[in-house]
Amino acid sequence: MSAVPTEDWVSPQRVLEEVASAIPEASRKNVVVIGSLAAGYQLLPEKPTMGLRTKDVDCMLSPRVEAVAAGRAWTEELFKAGWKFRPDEKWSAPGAAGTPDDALPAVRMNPPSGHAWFVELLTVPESPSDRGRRWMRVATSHGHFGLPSFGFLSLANYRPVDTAMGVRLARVEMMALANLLEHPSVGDAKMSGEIGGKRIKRSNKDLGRVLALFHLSDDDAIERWPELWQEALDTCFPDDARALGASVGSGIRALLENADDVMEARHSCEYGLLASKPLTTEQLRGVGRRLLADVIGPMERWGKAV
Amino acid sequence: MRQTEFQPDARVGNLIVEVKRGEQAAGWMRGAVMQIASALAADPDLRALLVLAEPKMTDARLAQELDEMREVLRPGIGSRLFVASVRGGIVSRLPKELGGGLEELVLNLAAREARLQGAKRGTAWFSVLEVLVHHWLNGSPPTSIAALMSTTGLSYPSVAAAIERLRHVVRRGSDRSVELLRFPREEWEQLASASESVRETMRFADRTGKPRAIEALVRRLAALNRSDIAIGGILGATHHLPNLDIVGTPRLDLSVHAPHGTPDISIVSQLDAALERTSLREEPAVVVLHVVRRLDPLFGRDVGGSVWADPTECLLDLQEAKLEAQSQQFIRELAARNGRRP
Repeated sequence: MSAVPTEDWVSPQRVLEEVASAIPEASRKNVVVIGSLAAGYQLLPEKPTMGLRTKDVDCMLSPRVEAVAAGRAWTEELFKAGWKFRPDEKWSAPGAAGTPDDALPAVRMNPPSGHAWFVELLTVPESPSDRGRRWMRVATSHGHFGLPSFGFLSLANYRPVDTAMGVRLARVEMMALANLLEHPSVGDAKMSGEIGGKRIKRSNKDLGRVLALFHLSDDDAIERWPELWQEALDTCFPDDARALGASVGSGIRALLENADDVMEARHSCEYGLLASKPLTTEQLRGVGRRLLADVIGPMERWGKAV
Repeated sequence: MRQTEFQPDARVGNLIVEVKRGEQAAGWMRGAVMQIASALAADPDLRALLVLAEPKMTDARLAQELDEMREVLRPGIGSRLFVASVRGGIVSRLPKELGGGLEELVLNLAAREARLQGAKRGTAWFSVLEVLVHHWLNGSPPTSIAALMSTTGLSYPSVAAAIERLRHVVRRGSDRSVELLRFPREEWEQLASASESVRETMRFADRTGKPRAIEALVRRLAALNRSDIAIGGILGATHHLPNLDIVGTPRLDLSVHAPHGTPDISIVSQLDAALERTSLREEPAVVVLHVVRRLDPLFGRDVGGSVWADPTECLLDLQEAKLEAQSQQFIRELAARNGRRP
């Protein structure tokens, strides 16, 4: 069953072109686009009936030592080109010099085209053991912002995919792995905003995203996921790669065992990567069984092997 | 031992072995136990092993049934009665106190029971028909009754009866060999129309809305390196006859060799964990399993390691998929290639 396109659908190709053209030439090498836009660009064929609903275009700046300079240059450029700071319930305007680092708003900018989506800047964590949320100050002529880093974002920076537009994209399988590791269980924390009129658990949104990424990937690519995951964990988290591999499936298993969580995950997919072709909860469970058998099982065996 | 009407399937020393296969409920087990109990009552030195082949009950339930029955048996009889089960060629609950070396006997008895049941259902001659057609399509020389017995696993009377049934299309040699004179269309039609039950066909459908590509399933099958599972269907047919007039492969037909008991269908979830068995004919199946019960499955392995179902299995698959024109082409051209005139 295909869904009928709605006004909030975006074409990944077109949004990515718009974002890429707004990045200063010198900073482009520092940008890795992550999240549903990066996934949609790689997985959804460009045609009128295939699109995704997304609001945030997450752009990761790396390496960390260049992130603040690149973030500053890009933010200045965006303001100059007519992009606007996107206020929300917490921040009505950029921060100031006196705003504590962890109270700074992120760089969230709406394009001058007036579209509802916005660019948000992040950066990679400082070290493999640094998995908490951290903020780095970006001082601009328009105010102060924070560049957040957290959890397993460094995986999204592992062997990113080049594009003709100069920006790079996080690999689909790495975004899936990062989300799985981020949610070793289904937590109770809910999203700050609504998705399709519902406030759902963050775990269900992120783990639902994993199912969507897996579902949209082709068979040849999926066969390489375990090997790439192992390689990435060995590289990014050399001290506890195996332990992470062994625990990679706990969150998604918990989700699949709970009917309400599966429904929330399905809802979130319908308003994201699977907007063009929504799945039923039964189908999503089938996708989950495939993921467990094809990728998570081999990873867990690898993780537990001495 | 006093004479009773009960004749066990085997006797080893003072142990009698009785095999019961594929029954539905606990009632039949009680009936079997009472038969055995009468034999045990007649001979105080006798012990008995009841083997349940492919029972519908779990082993735990079987144990519970046995305990309950022991309570109502005369003292001294229940303690000499043992129960084991066979599922998919694996024997479980075989009591250690009965001594070693019993497993093979139990498996052979269970397999014999399966073949006898097949013969009772009137399908034994189909097995002989398939093997004769296999030889005919391949242009093989006449075959002996003994070879037919060892290939099918059937007894001499069953093979002889099947040949008698096919006498109008069979040439008998002076050395007791047999071969088909032509393709036995009428008999083959009977087999094809009963194929689904004779071959215990099982269909598996995708549950994700995105069926896995057949090529990916075949790759995964190859990685499992199973010699008891062969590729049939359109892929198998085009392996045997590369110029078969067909494009595309909508499903993967696999022939599973299971001469003893339940076929191992866990292979399906290894190919794709999102497949589930379906009984709805109108639901498109991605993988279809057919059980091959004869002793020699007649599978062939190519140089690349792929295992292929024999041409008769592939022909039945084509017919089951209603590919009539391709079935006719398959018979005609394969036979002609091997010097036969259909």
